[in-house]
Amino acid sequence: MFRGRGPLRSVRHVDGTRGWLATSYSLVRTVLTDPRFSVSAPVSQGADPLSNPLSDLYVSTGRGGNLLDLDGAQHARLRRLHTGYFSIRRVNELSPHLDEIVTRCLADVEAVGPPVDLVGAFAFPFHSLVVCEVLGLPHHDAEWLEQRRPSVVRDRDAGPDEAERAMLEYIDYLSRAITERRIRPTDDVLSGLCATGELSDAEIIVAASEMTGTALTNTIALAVLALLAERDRWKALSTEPTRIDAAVEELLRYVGAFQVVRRTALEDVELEGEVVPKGEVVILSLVGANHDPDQFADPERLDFTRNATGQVAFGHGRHICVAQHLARLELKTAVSGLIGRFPTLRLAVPIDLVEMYSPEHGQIYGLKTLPVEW
Amino acid sequence: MKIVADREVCIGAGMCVRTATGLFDQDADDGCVIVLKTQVEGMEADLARRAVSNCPSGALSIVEDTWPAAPRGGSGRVRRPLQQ
Repeated sequence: MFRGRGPLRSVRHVDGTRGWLATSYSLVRTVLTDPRFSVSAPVSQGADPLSNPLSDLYVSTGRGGNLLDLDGAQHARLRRLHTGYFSIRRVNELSPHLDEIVTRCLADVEAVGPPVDLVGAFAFPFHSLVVCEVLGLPHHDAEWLEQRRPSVVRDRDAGPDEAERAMLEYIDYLSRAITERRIRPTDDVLSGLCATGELSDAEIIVAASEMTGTALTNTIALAVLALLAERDRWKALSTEPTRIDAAVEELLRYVGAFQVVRRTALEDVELEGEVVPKGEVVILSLVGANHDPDQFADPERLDFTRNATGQVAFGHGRHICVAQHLARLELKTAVSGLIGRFPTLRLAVPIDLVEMYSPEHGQIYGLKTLPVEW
Repeated sequence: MKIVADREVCIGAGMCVRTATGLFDQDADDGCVIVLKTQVEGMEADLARRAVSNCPSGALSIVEDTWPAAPRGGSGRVRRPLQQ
C-alpha cells in the first residue's frame, strides 16, 4: 500500500516519535549494509520495553546487548563464535536427524486424525525438537521447554507473574545444561559454544533463546497455507520433489515471517533525497523488499521456477540470520515431509477463516491455527 | 575475470556457496569464505556476479580482466585494476 508513494516515507512510530519506512529492495539492502545505521534502538525506543529476567540476565553480563543488538567489532567477535556451527555443510549433516524428527511428528499428526491444527500439532513440536537436537538437549524435554520459550511466552500474552516464572525456569534449565557441558562436553552446539571459552553462561543462554524464536514456526505455517491456497502447487511439489529447494527459497520470499527490522541513524544520513537525522529510526520492510516488482517480476505470484536467491527473509548485511541454512533445511524437511505423508492435504476451513496474528511488537506475523484434513 | 574475497570482512553467512556452489566453500571452523575457483568466465562469471550481489557483508568483489571492459549485469561491487 506504500509502494506507490516512493521507497522512503516519513512516518510516526507508535510512541509518537518521527521515523521512516523503507519499502524497496534496493533501499532496504542499502540501509542494512550501511555502517552509519545501528541495530541498537535509541534510548527513547527500547527494543524490549518490558524488563524481563532474560534481558536483565544479559544486561548483567555488562556487554549491553545480545547478538541482535550489537554493532561493529563486538558483534563480529560474538558472531564468529557461532558461524562454524551453522555453515551449509554442518547444517546438511543434521539432515538425517531432521528427517527422523519429522517422521515422528507426522506420525503424531496422523494419530490425532483429521481435522488437525498444523500450527499446534506440527510446526511447534517439530521446531522444538529440532532446537533440542541442535543444542544437544534431550528430546523429551522439548515440550516442557516449548512452554517456557521466551518468544512463546511473550506471544501468548501471559501475565507478568506467569511470564517471569516461565523465563526463570527456562534460564535455570539452560544454566544447568551449560554447567553439565562445561564438565562433560558432548557433540552439540551448546558444548561447542562452551568450549570457545569466550562466552559466559548468560551469553550462551541468550544465544540459545534467539534460536527458538517463533519466526520459523510461523514461516512453516504460512508456507503450508500458501501451498494449500492453490492445491496445484501442493500437487506440483508432490509429483516433482526435486523442485523443493527452489520452492523453499521462493516460499521464503513470498511468506517470510519477519515483516520488518529497524535501524537507528548514528549520524545524519542522506537517503533518496531526504535526510534521516541522527537518532531517528528507519523501519525496513523485508516483506516490501521481497515483493518489490523492480527486483522480483510479478512479485505476488508464487513461482517455483523463479530464482529467488537474494530474497531478504533472513535480512541482509552483517546481521543476516546466523542460522538461516538451518531454517531453510527445517522448512524444506517440514514441507516435503507433509507432502510425502499427506499428498491429499487440504484446508479444513475456508481460507478466509484461517486466522492470522501479529504480536504487539509487530516484527513477525503468522497464523493462530491452520486447520487441515486429508 | 577474477573473484576476490576478503576473509576479514566475511561473516560466514554462506550465501556465496548457496548462490554458486562450485565456486565457493565455507571454512570448516568459522564458516568464512573459501574461493574454489578464482578465474571465471561465461556462465560461471554470471554466477560469481550474482554471488557478489547476494553477499551480505560485502566481502566479495570482482576484478575484471580487461580495462575498460564494462561489467555485465549484477549490482555487486566491481573492482577494476588501475594499471594494466
